[in-house]
Amino acid sequence: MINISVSVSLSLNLFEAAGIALVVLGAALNMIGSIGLIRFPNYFVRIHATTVSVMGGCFLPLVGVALMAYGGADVVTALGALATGGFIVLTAPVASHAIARAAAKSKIDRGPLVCDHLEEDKK
Amino acid sequence: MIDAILVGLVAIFLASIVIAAYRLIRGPTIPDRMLALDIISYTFAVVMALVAVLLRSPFLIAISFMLALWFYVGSLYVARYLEGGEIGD
Repeated sequence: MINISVSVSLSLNLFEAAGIALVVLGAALNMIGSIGLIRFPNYFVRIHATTVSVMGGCFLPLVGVALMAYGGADVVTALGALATGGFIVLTAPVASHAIARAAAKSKIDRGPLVCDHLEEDKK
Repeated sequence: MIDAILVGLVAIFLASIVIAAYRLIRGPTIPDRMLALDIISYTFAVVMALVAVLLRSPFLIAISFMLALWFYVGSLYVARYLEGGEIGD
């Protein structure tokens, strides 16, 4: 048992171990976000689950993939994964904000509201 | 060793895509479906990046790059459609 664990820890270098840790964390966050997307009651609550799933569950694993590819001496895949993560961070909030603004203007179920700053701005 | 871990992680991400596809099919309004499509698209980009590391093929990362680069345009078009404006102005 000890020999197996030693050989496993020797077969990974530092970059690959850090990358796998990030991808495992991201897989857990992605699953949590997807479950929240099903369980939450209406659209404006589900946006929070999408944020967890996209930022924690897609950006972190791409950084982990970049570390793993860099540890495996595959620089092209590492740079591509880093660029993909950067574009996700740049463009996902734009799309989410546009859809949320359109949904707030159309008449969908909004649940129990505490306050509504959009209506206050219109007045 | 690392390949077995990667296959398990790809399975977890694909299960997450299936769970989000339930909201895509079921979702009562159009913004709900776009939210589920967001998660499915970006998670598929992550799956493609993992497969690129698994198969040691740098060409597969281009799929993930193009998904992350162009998917938000679809969300912007659906937002314009929901607000009732003309696309392109």
